[in-house]
Amino acid sequence: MHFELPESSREELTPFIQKELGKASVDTWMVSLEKLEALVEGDEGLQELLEDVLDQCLRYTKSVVEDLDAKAREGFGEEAEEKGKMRTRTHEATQDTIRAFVRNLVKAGKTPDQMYPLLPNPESRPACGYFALKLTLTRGAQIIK
Amino acid sequence: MLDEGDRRKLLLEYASFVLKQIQGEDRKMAEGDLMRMQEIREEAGLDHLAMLQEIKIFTSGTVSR
Repeated sequence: MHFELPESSREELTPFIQKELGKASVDTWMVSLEKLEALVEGDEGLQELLEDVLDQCLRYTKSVVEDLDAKAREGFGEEAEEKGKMRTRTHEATQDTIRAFVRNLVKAGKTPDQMYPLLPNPESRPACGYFALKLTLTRGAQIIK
Repeated sequence: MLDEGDRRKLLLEYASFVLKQIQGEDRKMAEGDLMRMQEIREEAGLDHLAMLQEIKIFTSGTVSR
C-alpha cells in the first residue's frame, strides 16, 4: 500500500520534522569552513572568489533577518515590503556569486566529488539560500567559544 | 514559557548580534552586546550553538523557491 501525505500536511509537518531531527545533532548542518579553504588552497583567484561567497552569504543572511524583523514589527507595511525586495535581490546576487565560484572551480579542474559535498547546486535558488544561511551561521559558531 | 512570536523576536535579535560580530570580525565584542546575548540565551534556555540551530531552522523555513 502506498500512502502519501497531502501537500498541505507536508508543509505543516516539515518544520516539525526539521526541528525534531535538528535536536538530534546540533552541528550536522554546519558547513566545513576548513574543507572549503582546502578546496581553494594555493589558488589566489579561487581564494578571492571564496571571500566573495562568504561576504555575499553574510549579506543574504542579514537581508533575511531584516526582512523577518520588519515583518514581525509591522506586518506587511512599506518597510517590510522594501526589506522583502532587498532580500529577493540579495538572494539572486548570492546565487550568481556561488555560480561564478563553481564555474571557476570547474575551470581549475575540481571534480563534482570534490565540490558537491561542500557546495549547493548553483542552479537551485533555494539550495543557494539554505547554503548561505548555513555558511553564515557556521561562522557565527566561532564568535563565542 | 515564551510564545511563538516572542521566541522568534528573540531569535532575530540574537541573529542580529551574531551578524554584527561576523561583520566586524577583528573587533572585540561590546560588553553590552555580550550581556544581552547571554540574557537572550537564558530566556530561551539554550546555549549558543542551539540558538544558531534554532535561527537556522526558523530562517531556512522562509527561503523562497
